[in-house]
Amino acid sequence: MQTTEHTAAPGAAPLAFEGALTWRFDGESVALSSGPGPLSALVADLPGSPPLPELLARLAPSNPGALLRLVRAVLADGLPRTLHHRTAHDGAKSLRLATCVLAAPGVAGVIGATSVVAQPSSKIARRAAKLRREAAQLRESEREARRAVADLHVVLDTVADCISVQQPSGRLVFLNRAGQRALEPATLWQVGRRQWQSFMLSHYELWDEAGKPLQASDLPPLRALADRSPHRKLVRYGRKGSDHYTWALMRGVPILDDVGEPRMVVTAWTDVTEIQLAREELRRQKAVLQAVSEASLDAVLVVSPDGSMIYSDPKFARLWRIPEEALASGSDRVALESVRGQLRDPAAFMTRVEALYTTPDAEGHDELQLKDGRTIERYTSSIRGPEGQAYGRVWFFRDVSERNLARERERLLLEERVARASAERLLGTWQLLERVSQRLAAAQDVETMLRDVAGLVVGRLAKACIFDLLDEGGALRRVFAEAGTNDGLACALAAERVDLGVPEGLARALQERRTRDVEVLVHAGHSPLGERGSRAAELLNGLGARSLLVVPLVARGVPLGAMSLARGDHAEADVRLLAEQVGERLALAIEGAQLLRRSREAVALRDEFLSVASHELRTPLTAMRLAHQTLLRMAAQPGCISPQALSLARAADRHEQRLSRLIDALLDVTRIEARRLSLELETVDLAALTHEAVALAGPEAERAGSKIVLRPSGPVEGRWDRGRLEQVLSNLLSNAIKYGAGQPIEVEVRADAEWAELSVRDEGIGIPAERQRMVFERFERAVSSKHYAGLGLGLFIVRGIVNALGGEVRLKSEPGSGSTFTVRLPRSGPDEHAVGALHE
Amino acid sequence: MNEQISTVQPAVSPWPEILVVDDDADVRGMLADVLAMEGYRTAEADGGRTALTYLRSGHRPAVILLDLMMPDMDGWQFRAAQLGDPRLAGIPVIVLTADSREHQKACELGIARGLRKPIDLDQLLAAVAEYRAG
Repeated sequence: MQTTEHTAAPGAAPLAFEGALTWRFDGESVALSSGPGPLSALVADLPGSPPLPELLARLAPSNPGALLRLVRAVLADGLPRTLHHRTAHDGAKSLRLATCVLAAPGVAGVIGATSVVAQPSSKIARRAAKLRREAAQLRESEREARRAVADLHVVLDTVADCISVQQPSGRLVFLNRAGQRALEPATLWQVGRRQWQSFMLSHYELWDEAGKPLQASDLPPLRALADRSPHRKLVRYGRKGSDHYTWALMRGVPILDDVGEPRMVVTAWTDVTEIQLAREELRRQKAVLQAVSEASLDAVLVVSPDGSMIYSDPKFARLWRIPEEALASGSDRVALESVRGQLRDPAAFMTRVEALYTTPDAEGHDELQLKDGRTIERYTSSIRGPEGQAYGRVWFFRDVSERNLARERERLLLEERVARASAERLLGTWQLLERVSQRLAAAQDVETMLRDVAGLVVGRLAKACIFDLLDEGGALRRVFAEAGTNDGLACALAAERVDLGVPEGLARALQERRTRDVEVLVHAGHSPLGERGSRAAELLNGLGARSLLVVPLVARGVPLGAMSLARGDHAEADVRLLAEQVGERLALAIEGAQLLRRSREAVALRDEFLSVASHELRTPLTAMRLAHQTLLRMAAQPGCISPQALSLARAADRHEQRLSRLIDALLDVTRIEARRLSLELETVDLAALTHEAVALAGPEAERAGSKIVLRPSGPVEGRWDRGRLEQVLSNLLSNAIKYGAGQPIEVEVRADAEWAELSVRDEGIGIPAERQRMVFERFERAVSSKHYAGLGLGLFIVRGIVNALGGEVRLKSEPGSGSTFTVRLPRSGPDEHAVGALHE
Repeated sequence: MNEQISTVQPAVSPWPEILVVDDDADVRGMLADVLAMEGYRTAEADGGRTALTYLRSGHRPAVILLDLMMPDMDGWQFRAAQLGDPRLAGIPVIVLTADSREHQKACELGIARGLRKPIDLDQLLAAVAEYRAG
């Protein structure tokens, strides 16, 4: 125990007042110090540290209890007190004493000073006065010291931190209010409690930051005492058996005396539970954020307002291929530098980044094209606290190359689908037109054509299809109607009469020769097709048709009628075009069918004429010939008829034969012109036939003075018509005789494997070149008809027959030196198709 | 319609009967005359129907001269009916045609012979002589 501090006189021995006895009580033991004087004798036999009651009994033998009470009172409240007493009861020898007890500042315990109260003598009185002054000074010092201590306590009490002061022995000297509030029960913080830490640890548990239980020796105050230097530690403590705990930052600071020994140790601990919990929460949130950002597809970067990278996930570094050192730098600038080289347009990128940084609230959503072909989507927004404070900016990055590729694929797929649909539509159109063309080509008559076209069109282009055709008299006639499965309706429509006087769709379409799309109005009193009354319109409406597309059927500028398509709505351009194309084809087909019908009718008529003419002309000839020939037979019997009559009968027979030939020629010409020459094909020897013909023509040639020379040849067989070849030979020979000028006529038959050739050459008047082509025409002859009789049909018939047999006739002639007619015939006969065509 | 000219019973007659079927009375008469002059018995019919009635009444001419173009029942129809009747199918028929195409068609129908109008007397007599024996 130290007793020197309160000594009033500096440099003096402790409490070395003359005649005074000073002592100090620290709560346990007493320390005595006595100077010279009567009082020293009083305690001379006492040990240096006598028990307090013993000391007090010496000082105040009559009333030691009063003095003890005084000490306790001072110990309790620290206020100085003085007790006057005597050394003994007897008045002679007893000394009047006064004991002053006061609390020592800064230490526990009290200081007592017992001195003799002397009668004032001048010396004594001076001394006493001096003593009183000194005591007053001392008291003042004490008061100041107490005030300072009290002030200090007030200060320490107002501090939020818990502060305790302990002696090295472990006795608690001071605990501020914060400390008192922090510790329970109240007994814990009784000042003066010894072994305070151990006591506290018996109620509390302590752990370090890692959760390891702590011993008293681990705590900063004890460590500070041990190594005489401050210590600090983050600890968690809580009452035993309780779930509540407190985080505290505990500091231990030793107070050393002059020789560096620890006199006290101050323990201060700050409740950092909130901070610690917040830190833990922060750590948790960060972990969550990290987990979220790692789990998300996006690479995340958070940049503080000052441009440092607060957070980035591993994906960020991978995506942007940011080098380790750039990442470690923590600087966004450095990271940007490493990124810009990868971009296709680094300048635009940097401009955009600068713009985003200069407008903190801006949000950005961009796609960045990288040199390596990747596309990175970037989204950024600012981070704001609850009160709007700027915390920086968060950037999200995502490699969308795959996604863009998928989108591109999807787009291409869509385009392809659209193109395919369009192509299919086109194909559908084309197929419809193709089928229309096929049906029209196959159809023999108009009715079939209309039915086929309607069948193709209804359901595809229209709900119903109606045909009106102009007849030869120019009147419009409802010809056909088709309405899918609705036969009754089609029949009703087909039965309607059309009136061109109704100035509506049909009439106008035909007049303007232009397709019209007209509405079907029930209450108009007539239909757009020109039916009077509202029945047709009602029928169409019943079918769900609201409009009629009237397509005029025009072939080579001539209107033939119209095709009307009943539709639910007005026709789009492509439907209209398609309908018009169908109409065009149909019109041409109808025209063709009509032409074919007319030509067939004409052919049939001509056939009938030929047949009737042959019959009618030849029938009287038959009777005539039989009559002449009978007459001639009768004339053979002598005396039956007169020679004159016989001569007349012969002439009549000759003329009849000539008439018969002329009629044959005329009919042949007609047949040749109609390409209806009939052929009876059989195997014929042209050489033999020529021989016969030459023999037959012999007399006539003789009469004309010509000689027919037939060059010899072997048989020349071919598939020909015997009768027709006889006609050819007869005509050529009589022609040569007629124009042969009495010169010899040379006839020759030649042949190779495929062709037979017959030539008849005369040396007559010949034919000028300009007329050579004409001699084969009807009623033509090379020279004037005045000089040469006949119809001029012979060569025309020759050519007709030869052509029908698949051959040709050639003429080589020079005026004055004769003509050569050469007939070339295929030995296999005419082409079968050609024969077929002839018979058509 | 002309009445058929029938003489005595065909079976005992030394001269065969020729049936001339033609709608033209001049031609029919001329043919009948010419044949009669040659000694044939003749019967005349002005159309296919008459001829058929005549035949179905039991007459069996040796040869039928048949014109094709007739208004009532034409030659084709007559021929078809004749071929459809087994009793008559065997009688040879010589057709008289004006049209070469009909002539061709006649051949296809199993006609014995076709003569083109105007008919040559010699050819006619030759044909009749050829077929009268059956």
